[in-house]
Amino acid sequence: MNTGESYDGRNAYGAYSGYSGTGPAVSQPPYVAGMTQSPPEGMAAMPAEGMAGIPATGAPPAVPPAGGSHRSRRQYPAEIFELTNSQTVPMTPPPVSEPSYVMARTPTLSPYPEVTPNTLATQMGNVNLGPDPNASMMPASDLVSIDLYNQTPDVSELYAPPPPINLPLTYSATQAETSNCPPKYMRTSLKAIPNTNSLLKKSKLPFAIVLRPYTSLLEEDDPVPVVSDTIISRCRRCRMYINPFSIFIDNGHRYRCNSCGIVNEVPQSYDWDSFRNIQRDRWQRPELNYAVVDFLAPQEYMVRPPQPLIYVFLIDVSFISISSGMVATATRTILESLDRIPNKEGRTQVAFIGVDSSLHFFSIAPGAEEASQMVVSDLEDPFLPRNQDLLLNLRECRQGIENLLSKFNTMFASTRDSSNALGPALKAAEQLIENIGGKISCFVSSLPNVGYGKLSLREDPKILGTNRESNLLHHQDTFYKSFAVECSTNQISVDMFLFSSQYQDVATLSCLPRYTAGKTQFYYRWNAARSEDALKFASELSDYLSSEIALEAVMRVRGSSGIRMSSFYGNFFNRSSDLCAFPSFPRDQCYVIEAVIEDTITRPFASFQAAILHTTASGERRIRVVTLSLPVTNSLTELYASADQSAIMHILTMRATEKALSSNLSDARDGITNKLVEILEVYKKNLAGQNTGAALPLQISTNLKLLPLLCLGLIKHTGFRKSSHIPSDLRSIALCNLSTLPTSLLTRYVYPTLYSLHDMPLEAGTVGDDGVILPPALNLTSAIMQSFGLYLLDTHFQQFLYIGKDAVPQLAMDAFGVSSIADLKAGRFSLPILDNPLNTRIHAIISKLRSLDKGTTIQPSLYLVRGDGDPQLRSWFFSHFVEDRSDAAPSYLQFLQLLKEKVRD
Amino acid sequence: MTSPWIYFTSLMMTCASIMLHMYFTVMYSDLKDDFINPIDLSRKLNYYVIPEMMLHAISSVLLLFSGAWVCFIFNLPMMLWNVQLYLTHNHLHDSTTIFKDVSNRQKRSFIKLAWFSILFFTYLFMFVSRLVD
Repeated sequence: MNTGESYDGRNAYGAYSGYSGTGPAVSQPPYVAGMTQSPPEGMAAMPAEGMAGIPATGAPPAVPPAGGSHRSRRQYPAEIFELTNSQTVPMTPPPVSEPSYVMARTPTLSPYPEVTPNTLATQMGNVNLGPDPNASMMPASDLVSIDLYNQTPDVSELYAPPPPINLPLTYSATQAETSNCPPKYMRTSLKAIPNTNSLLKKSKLPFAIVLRPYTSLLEEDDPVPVVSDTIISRCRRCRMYINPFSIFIDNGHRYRCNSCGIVNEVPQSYDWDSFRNIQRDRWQRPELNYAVVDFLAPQEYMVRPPQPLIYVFLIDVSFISISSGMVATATRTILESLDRIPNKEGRTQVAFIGVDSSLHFFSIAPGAEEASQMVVSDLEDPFLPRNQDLLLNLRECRQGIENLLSKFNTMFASTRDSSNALGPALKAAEQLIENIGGKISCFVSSLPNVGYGKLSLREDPKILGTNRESNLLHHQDTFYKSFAVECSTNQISVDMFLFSSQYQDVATLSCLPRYTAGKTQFYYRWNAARSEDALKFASELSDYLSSEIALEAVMRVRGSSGIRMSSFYGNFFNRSSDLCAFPSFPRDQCYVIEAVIEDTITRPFASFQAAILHTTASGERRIRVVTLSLPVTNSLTELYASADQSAIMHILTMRATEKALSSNLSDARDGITNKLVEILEVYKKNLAGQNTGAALPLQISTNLKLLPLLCLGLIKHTGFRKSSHIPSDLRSIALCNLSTLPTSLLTRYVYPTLYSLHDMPLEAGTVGDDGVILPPALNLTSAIMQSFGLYLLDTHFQQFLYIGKDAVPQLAMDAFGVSSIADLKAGRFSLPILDNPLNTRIHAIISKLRSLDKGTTIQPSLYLVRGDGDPQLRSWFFSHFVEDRSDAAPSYLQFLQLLKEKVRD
Repeated sequence: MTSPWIYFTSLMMTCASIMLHMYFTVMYSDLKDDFINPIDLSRKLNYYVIPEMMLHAISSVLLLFSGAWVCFIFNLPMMLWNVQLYLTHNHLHDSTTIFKDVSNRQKRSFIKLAWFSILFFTYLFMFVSRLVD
């Protein structure tokens, strides 16, 4: 892809070459000269100064100069060393490991932190009772109380694996290690299920499943075993699929369903390998060994033959769109990604519709090289200008499509049309594929202002921050909602790529993706003239097009008898009370399903099973089945010891998002705080043990100790924060993101990760056993920020490089290749590639952060923030500092105080 | 003196409203038991939402103009409630959110049912007593 070229060619140094004359140190761009001349002194001195032995990551090994001084010029002021030695930064245990997906597969027995001896003594006193011998049916986890006041929250544990599931493997038919579901696919807020509803009510803990059926954009990055003989055994009563926890009886002729307990027949050819015609070992079957499997579905699971994959590209070609360069970037990226669109069978089809005040269709006769354009200007009743040749087979019409895309922008280059008939265009696109289904990808950079679904410019800066602001987050026109329902029944899903120059009404437009399982991506103040913007959009669009996709999907989540799924959160349409419909199943989204307990559960363990019936892009009907089994308990202690703070945070996020979208923001914020208070109250009343002395601690179990911090992060998040400076579009998109991100990314989005780069450990940024080693994460409080430091803040959607105002020139030189920070331009930024270890390590860290999760298309945009620079940018940067006090929101300690006041005895 | 036939008309209208709400509650429980999909439900019920509100409004106005003050005042809270639902766009059924909303809707229908039943007997009593007079 040439976007990579443009990165090197246009951004990397171009922006800084202008400064090269200002300081003597950079009089020679090292990259041009470095090859022939001897390397600059400082660079050469580095290895001699104790860096030897650290594997270099891509930086060419510097040759020690003959007369090189042994004093490194790279020494930053001595005070840095003093400060780091005297512990300014809480030294977290080993350098931050890769957030815990890998560890999650093999849960360590004790994910809890080590408690320092002096607090241990007091805490041991508080350890409540321990498990009640006749209460618990399973070995219980210990509950360790902790006083929230007593310690700074340890942010390195945000990505620690959830509490382990105390379910002996003996319950599994094959006793395979993989019998139970790893948390990256499915995790619950409680790792032990309360046996009665009254216990659940009493605990006040939310009970829900967080489901992420796919963890990577491409199947090959995270393969799942496939049951390919189309023998699917399901319970005849509860319809649960056979899974590792099914109990075989009668010499294996029958099995007992682990969900409802009824006895089922094992299918006749279950032990027969029909491909090779030999007897096979039943215990090798994937569905009895793995908790996550794909079944190949037989004919009965098809309503109609698998349909081809269809993309309809609906491109806004109005004046604003052309002038911002959106059309050019989008069409060029599509052109370059044509080979990446899933098309194994050669059935994939595409269509292009241009929208301004009329609709522009393009048809290519098979084999023809040129497209013909047809313009429909009847917006009242948009019709298709032809019956055929509008849907173009990607393989057969390849030449024509390439020609069309390369000319697309020039065709409209001289337009003065500022109208945008998005509504009629959507209707036309729906007509085009209503019998087949598919995806409509809209690229829109102006507010739809003619025809159906036209929107008005309703944002008024005066009402931001007031109660009426919430109205801006609700949809303004019912067209988009009713159209979404229509699309969902026709198996069409809509994705919105929105590019704003002004108000874009993300709130209304995002209705379409929300109910058709699509996604909304918003590029705020996007302009292709900034190469960073163009690059970001191009790479995200390319990943979006190349990601594998499932069609005509439905999802059902079943629980053991006694458990019922009550509410569902995520982007889809609820076709019946427990059936979620996805016209196309995206691989980068996550779903939350709340459960209620209806009857007393008498079994020792209970299961959840999610089944997603879908058609793959290559035309196979498959069912992905994810099964999670959990022990059942009747002790409150164990419920609390098994609670998963990240999952709870995820559920609270979903609830709050829903509240923000249906009522208002203050309700959403209150909902979060109130739940937290309830949890603390229950804990204090029932589990915290006796309070001694006058100082009343605020106690919670260790596995929930970061919950208050995460909740505070949520309350201060762009989506919910009380502020009169956040445009409603940004709020709406934040709410969209909050309701679709998977847990690990959501955690980062809610509580961004801060790294200090100027004093990072020597091994950080170099390649270790699990790839690039990240520096330890820091608490988000500006108190630990040094005015001479260099920091990196990662929110998943943005990355900020912050350089303090007193940074030494050498730091600026090494990191950015400029002689003083005054030469740095704050704002959107591309980090130049320099030939020195610091710069190389920063690059390694940034790219490591971008590739942590394989299931996202998002490429964070990089910003440079200067300690003495643009106050607006700085205040945006510091608005992510969750533990700091901001205008309307309390600091972490104040928040704890507030909680304590609210928690009544 | 209000004519008995005014009460009779109101009585008939209330009857119709009661029937509608019975239909609504049956449909809601059908939805909960998956006998009907949310799209059909919304389409079927939304057809009757405005007529139901109009019926109530007409009967109330009729009572007002015929001088049955007490009965009108009795009807006023419900009328205001309807107006409020209408203004906040909460009166129609939305198939995308109906599953989260259905319990509320059901409660709403039950309240209206109870209220209309009281009205029904009031009107019946007034109608008969006026006839006897």
